[in-house]
Amino acid sequence: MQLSGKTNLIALGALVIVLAIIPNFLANNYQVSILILIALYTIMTVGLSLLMGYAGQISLGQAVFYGFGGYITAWLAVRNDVPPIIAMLMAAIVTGVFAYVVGIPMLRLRGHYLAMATLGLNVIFELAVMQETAWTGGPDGFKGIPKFSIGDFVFETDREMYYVVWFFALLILVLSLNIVNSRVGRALRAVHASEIAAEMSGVDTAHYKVAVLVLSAVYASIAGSLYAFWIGIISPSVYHLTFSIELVVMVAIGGLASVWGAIFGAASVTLIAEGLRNILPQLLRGASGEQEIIAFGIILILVMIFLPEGLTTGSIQRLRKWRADRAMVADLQRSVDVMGGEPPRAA
Amino acid sequence: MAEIILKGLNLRKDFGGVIAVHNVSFAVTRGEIFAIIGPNGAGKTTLFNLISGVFPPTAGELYFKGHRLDRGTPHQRATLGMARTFQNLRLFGNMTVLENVMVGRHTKSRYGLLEAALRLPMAVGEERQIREQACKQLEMIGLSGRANELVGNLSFGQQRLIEIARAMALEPELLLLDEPVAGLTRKEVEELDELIRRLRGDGMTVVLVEHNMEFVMGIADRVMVLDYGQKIADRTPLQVQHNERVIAAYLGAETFSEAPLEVDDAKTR
Amino acid sequence: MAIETQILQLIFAGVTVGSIYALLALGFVVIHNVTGIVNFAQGDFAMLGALVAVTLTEKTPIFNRVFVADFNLPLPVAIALSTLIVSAIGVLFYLVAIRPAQGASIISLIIITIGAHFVFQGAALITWAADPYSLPRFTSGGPLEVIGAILTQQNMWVIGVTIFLLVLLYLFFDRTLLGKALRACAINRTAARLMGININRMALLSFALSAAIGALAGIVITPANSMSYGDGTFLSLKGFVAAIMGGLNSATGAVVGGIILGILEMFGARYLSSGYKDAIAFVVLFAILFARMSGWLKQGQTQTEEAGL
Repeated sequence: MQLSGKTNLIALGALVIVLAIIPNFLANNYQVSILILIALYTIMTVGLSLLMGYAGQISLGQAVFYGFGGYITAWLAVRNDVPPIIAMLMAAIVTGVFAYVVGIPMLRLRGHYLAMATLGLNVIFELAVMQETAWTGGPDGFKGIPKFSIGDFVFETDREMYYVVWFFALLILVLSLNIVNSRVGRALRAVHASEIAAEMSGVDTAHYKVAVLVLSAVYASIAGSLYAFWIGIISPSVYHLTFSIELVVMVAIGGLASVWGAIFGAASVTLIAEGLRNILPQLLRGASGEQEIIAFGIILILVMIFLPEGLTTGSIQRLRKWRADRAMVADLQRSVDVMGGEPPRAA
Repeated sequence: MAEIILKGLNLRKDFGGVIAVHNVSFAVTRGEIFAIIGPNGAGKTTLFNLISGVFPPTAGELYFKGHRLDRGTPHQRATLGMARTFQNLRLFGNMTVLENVMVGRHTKSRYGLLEAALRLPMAVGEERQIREQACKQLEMIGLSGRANELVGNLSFGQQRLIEIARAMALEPELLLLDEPVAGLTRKEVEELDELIRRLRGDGMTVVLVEHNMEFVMGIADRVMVLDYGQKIADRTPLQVQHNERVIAAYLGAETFSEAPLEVDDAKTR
Repeated sequence: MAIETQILQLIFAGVTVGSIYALLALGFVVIHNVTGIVNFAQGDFAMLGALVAVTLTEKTPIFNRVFVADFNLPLPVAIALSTLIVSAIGVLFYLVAIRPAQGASIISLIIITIGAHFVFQGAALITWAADPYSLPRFTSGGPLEVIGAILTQQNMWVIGVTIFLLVLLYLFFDRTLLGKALRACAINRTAARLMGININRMALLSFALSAAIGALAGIVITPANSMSYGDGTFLSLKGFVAAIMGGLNSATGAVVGGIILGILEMFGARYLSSGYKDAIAFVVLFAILFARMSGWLKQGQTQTEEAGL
């Protein structure tokens, strides 16, 4: 279910314009921060969507790659004075290699086993980050990460960072759309639909599964690096298992096999989370942060039951089916009229 | 010119205590239509899966065009020129009719993740070729008009054809058909019969598993009969029909005596 | 401490905590056997069992001190009632989230149970806040001492309850008609249906049973270790690892797996690294999964299913 090239271009253009204008309408930094988070999450969700929706492999451990990006960049920038872009690139390469090495054995697993294995990876990563204080700063976090800069220009304010992260988000969006509308995208979807038929048609399924995992890891690493530059300090709690699961929620809501759905999913979940974080304390006196996960849980269950293709893909499919049904009814009506009021006999 | 294109030697497949295929050897000549028949549970599908690489044999060797294949993966076979259809139809339900056939062109194209992401000219060019070739395949089976529909919306018979088109898109030298006429109407069976003859005329080798005796006896050059995982006959259709062991295996002389014995040698050449 | 004492102590601790994993693993196996689903929210049944039991026995502030629950029921009653309540929650979970999703893909089902996990955890947070709670010890009395290693009465309760439940479940599955019907569903759903077994009712029963087992696991461990809203996550994970060790299909395997896991954790924490204790379960998981894979058909079991066997 792919949108045509022209539709993609139009949507892209519209998005660029909207994103360029928005900051002028925003009242405060808090709102800009939300949009920055949405951009970062979009990057990760696109990657995960390719993995889950196209290749059909589940990962409950994307936070690990996000963490790799953050910590490696931090270590390079702070302890080794590496310029930001290079640090980001190097982190992405290391993360990619790690995903490759880990992916080859892991992607031979399926379903629940794969989910558990990726989950285990996340848990081990968190523990390692907490324990290896010398490298990561432990529970107190890694401090003093410099701002993102290109050459002499430093992106100091949130507003400036907003443009940086959305630039990367849009870039990744375009690259992913290209991938999806190509032989690679078809191969991935084939793997999802029927691995054995894909293999028999000449698709090296093992290769593609690992390739898309590495891609999603690289995306996550880039997002992780940008996050580190923006925030200045990273700590283990950011890379908690819950975050990996929230990313799955974003993909589920946005649509498992939809690159555009990724933005929608990332935006929805982030906005809902913020909204709940603001409302809940009023509804339930003394409610602390995490309680909004109950809403996520409910949303997740409802989406999986009623719109398993996610809100975007699911809605589009329903729309198409509705239109197709109407067309079919119109056809039947026409043939009835032609036959002079008698319905055609079954062939 | 009797080149052996596919050869199996003493193939054996165990499934934890059950011996599905036991010491089966066979050789398929290039350009012939080779049928594998046998009662239910005889091991036909298992043998088919061994040939196509779904799983490796417990013992024995398999050669395709001289390459030793028993430890290989299905996609390696596809690259070498072996294509297969599935008994239970394994089309890609998440793609359109055309896209399904385009996947068949995978081995005939090369561009990868990077070239796709950057939309390099080489990728765009290859993509156009893939589309052209896939369209041609669709024309040959007469479904060009429905190229952009989701494959699940078409009838069973049409879906069968699409699977064959997808397999043909690989430009294979050996075509494996898994119960190709199961569930088809009489007319569709005739059309498939014609299609397979046409393919053979173009030099294709076909190996098929089938239950429909009339169809098999009409089109096969040679027939191999399996029973309880073992080969009990490997001859021309006529010879197989009169083989006592085969008749006993099917426990029904009617299966053979009632089938129209069109002893028309020209038809089976 | 002499080395034998140390080792024995670790074994005692390992068997105790392993019994909890074993019970959780049993819950996984029951549901998986009947429905094919892996329930990521299994550990939450333990958490809920414990917290509900605490609420029934002691004065507990709930909903952020808006209410104060003061049922003050005697312990055995509270335990029984809590098990029933959590079992009912399991049934509700099945009816609301699992049954409507019949025929969904594996990914969808996994996500649904994850969603349920969030719901349970969030609801627990709202109800009991982040505080840890404990039940009073079941029996007061001195511990058992063997060459210096100590086995407390509560430890013995844990092990005892596990054995008791194991025996009960064995009898149920092997001797009663209902139990056999459940097993039939696991082996061949269509055949079971044709025999007149109501698949939906069996699935419902499996959820009720699993939830009850989970609740008891949570209840029996809280006197020794406290329980708070978020503990369900790790309990689920470790229970799952234990279940896999037994092959996800075998109850005995699950129990043995749980005990082994518990012992490995204790020894690992003591002799390797206490910080990475929780990682041990996953290292074990990886080891098993990859060992299985090289022994199996190269491309996994689904390949066989796909090939139409």
